[in-house]
Amino acid sequence: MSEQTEQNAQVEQSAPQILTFCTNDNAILEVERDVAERSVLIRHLLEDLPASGQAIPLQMVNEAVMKKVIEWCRHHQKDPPSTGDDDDSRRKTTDIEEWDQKFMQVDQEMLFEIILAANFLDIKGLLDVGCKTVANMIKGKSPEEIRKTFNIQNDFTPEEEDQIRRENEWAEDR
Amino acid sequence: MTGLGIVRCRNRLYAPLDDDRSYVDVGIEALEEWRLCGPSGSRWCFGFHNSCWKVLLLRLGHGQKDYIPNELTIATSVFHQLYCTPCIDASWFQFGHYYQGAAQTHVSSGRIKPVGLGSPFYADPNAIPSADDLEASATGAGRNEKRHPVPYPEGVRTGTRGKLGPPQRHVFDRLSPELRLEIFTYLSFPDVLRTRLVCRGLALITNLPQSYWRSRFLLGQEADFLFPRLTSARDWSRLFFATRASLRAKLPPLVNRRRTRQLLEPIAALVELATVSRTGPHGSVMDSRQIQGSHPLLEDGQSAGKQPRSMEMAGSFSGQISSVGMDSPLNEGCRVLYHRSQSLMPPYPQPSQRIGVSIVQIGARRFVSEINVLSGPVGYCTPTSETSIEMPSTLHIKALCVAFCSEGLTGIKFLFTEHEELTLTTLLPSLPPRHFEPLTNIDFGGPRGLLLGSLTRLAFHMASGPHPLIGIEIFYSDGKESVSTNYERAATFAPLHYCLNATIEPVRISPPSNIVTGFVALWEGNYQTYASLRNVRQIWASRGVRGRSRASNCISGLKLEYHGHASPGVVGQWMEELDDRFELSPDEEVQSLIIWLTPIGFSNECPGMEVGQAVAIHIKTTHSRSVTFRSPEFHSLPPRRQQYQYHSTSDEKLTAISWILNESSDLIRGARSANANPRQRRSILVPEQQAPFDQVQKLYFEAQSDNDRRETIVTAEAYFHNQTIVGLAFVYTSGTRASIGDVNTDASQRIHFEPDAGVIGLSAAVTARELVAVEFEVAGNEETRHTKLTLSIDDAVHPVKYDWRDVWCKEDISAESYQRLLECNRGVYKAPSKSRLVGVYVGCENIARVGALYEPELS
Repeated sequence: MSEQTEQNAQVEQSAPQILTFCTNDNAILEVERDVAERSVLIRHLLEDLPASGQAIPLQMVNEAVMKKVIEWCRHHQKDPPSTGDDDDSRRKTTDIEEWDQKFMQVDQEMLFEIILAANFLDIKGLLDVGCKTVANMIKGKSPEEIRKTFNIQNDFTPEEEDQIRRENEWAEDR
Repeated sequence: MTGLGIVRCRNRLYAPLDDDRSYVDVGIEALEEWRLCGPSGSRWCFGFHNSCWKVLLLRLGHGQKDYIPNELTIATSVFHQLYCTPCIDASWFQFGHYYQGAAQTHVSSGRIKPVGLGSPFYADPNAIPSADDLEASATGAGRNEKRHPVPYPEGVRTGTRGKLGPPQRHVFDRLSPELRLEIFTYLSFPDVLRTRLVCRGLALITNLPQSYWRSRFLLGQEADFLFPRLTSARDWSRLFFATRASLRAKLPPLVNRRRTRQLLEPIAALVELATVSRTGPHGSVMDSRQIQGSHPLLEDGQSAGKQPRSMEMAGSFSGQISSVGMDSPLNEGCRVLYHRSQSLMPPYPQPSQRIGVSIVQIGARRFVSEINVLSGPVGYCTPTSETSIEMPSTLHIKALCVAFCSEGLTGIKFLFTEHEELTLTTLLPSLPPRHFEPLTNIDFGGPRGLLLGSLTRLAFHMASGPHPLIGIEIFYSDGKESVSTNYERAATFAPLHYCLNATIEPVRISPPSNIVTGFVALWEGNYQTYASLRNVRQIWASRGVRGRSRASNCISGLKLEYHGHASPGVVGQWMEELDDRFELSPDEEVQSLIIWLTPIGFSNECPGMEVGQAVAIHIKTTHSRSVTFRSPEFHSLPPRRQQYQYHSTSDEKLTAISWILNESSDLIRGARSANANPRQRRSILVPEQQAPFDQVQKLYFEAQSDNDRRETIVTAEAYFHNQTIVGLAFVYTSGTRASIGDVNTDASQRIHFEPDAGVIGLSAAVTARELVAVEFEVAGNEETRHTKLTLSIDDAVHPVKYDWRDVWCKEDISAESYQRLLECNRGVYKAPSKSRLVGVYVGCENIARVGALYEPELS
């Protein structure tokens, strides 16, 4: 084991270690270990498993989404590592930095896929950006505008809609 | 930071020096006085409400574990922010927000408004109920419940779920409830309620967990002004609803807490930024670095270790920033009216050096107009506004920091060697931008734009001050000048601030068959115009128009076009262009200006000052060519009574023309600037000039020739018009002449001086505006006594008549004897100590304003 650790240390010093991933559509992706470790899931996986050189299977993520995730991780490689739950104890603004805003200019399908992937891979920063993006699509909009944005059908009967409205009024005045 | 102080009178803070003490602890007598918001050499400070400071600390520490505020760092950052933020009337900071109505309770001058105890603006934002008390005050359902049903009315316990039909699938179904909640934590409660109205699936959001209600108190969310301890275990939903209920009940401290917290956010955000950004949000420190060649470059001093970043010169102020050579600054879109350079090294060692800065205020704008640094002043000096510092001679200026805004140079900081740093003047506030609101639409294009073809000119009438646009005039090639309104609709033509406080009095038109054909607007106050006289290519003139503020026999303004510049300068008012124009070649300069005014009465502002309207302007150049602009309707010769003369001399050059006008009168002056002449004479004027200041023309008894030889006066000449002196000329040993006034008259007189004769005394006989006699007292040699040489037409037929005589005596004794002898002497002046009489001066506007020139005696 100690030999293994030494080897690892040598590898880290010489060249970036490359990891291989296999997505659920059977694509093989190579990623530097530093980049992939933005994912807490992968970091823990690597800590627990000895490096086998085999491709790591990612059952929940397809190739296109994984490529986006890797792009995000590479850009944010130098960010300070998240310190766990304390991160969100302070701030909850929906401000998104410029690069992330551009990164998130994708179709809705991809947006939700990224959120799911970020959640699965446990990449807090990316999950936050995804949730903020969706929240910004809802903020300040009327129900009809929200329906249009997310292509949701109004399945209420008039009575039901009226009932929800009354419930809301009650909550508003509380 | 000082301790907690008290503002006892306007702009004065009384506070203990010690930052953890309060005025209550130390007693009024022990407090120190600080000037508020008045950056100056004396002791000054910015004031920050104690209650706001506490809210700021809460905001900065909110949600951070074991946060110990570094108040010094915060105070430094806040100080820099306030320092860089315009402070209007030294009263309120222009952060760009409206203070949420607090402006109503705030007056920037005059009597302070009474404190309204019921108003939330006066409520202490820190005197809010504790989170525990608020939570306990919550009413309604949900007590003791861990999860809080949002929209269940009392008694409806069955819930929404059972009453709605089966939901259709939608995009949010893909997300787990936890992920949906994660999104909702970014949404305000009203947003969540609106989301419920989207579809059946989303209407099922009824139970929001504590983590959602807790997130309402995180920074950036709707209840982020309460700052409860986020790690506490509490019923966050009850706290949230209780806070909302208290706000709805307008609990004053809570309302003010929310307001204050919102207003402090920009400051807090910058404080947080300052801790991560090394330079801070208040600018970069630039160092100069010598590059190959002669021009030093400015570099960002903070970029140590990185590639140094050179500062870029702005090539124009027109919105495009471009990099230009250091030797050709501001050559595009910007006219350099006049520039001078001044060495920062003193000409000779001095025990201490003084640096002064003058500030001028034109309308609402204030900027630095002059720097008086070591070897002499540069710029426009206003002695009353000049502030100065003493600089020990052991120090040298290392760098200058300057602050610009669109109105000009607003601040200068001198950095000295040995890390000393002195700030001389500081950033001055500018006016806030006003809301633009069109008052009326003037359709100068006419129906379907048909009038556009004949539109020739739009004239914008501007005033100095915070609301500069006072009128627009439209001209068409067919001579029509028109303003129209729609039928039976009113149009108001007035600056916004007048419209807002208008008292309207309808004017009846009688008989009703009359129609309004025009408006006349009156504007009180003076308007200043100014144009450079350097590099002039062509000069045009405009005359007045009948029925306007200047009649058609007046010259109403000049237009100056320049070599190398497309945009002309206009002084005065442009009404009707005269056909005459005057062209100058590139090496030709304006040498003299003579302006004739017709008197119209006396000034209301300066008692005794006669004012008039311009009727003729004579311009002479260095190529001895000249032009006289006057209206074709002005036939008679301009009277000599009100004639202003401005000439370039060996010491001073005419560089600009200033034309101050109001609705009835003109005041035109040439602006002269000293030549960069090492032998420039610094003479003392006796008597000194008094307001209203006139410029003076000087004649010296000794001239300095080009080869540095001193020449003495050999002949003095006086030129007369109707017995009054209108011009004076001195001729020196080599035959060179110096003159002032009009030397082309039929009648003249001359007197001769003995070689090396010293002029030791002077007297002048004058009437109100006319000079009738000048007398020189000349020292004789050992054999002869003092003699007097007089220039005046005084004969039996025309005995000289004058109102008074001014006398400049050599000695104190003769001054006293003169005082006794001559009753009608207005002034008897004696020489300033250790000085000698070197010449005579006359006013540019009033030749009868005669004085003597003295210079310190060389030991």
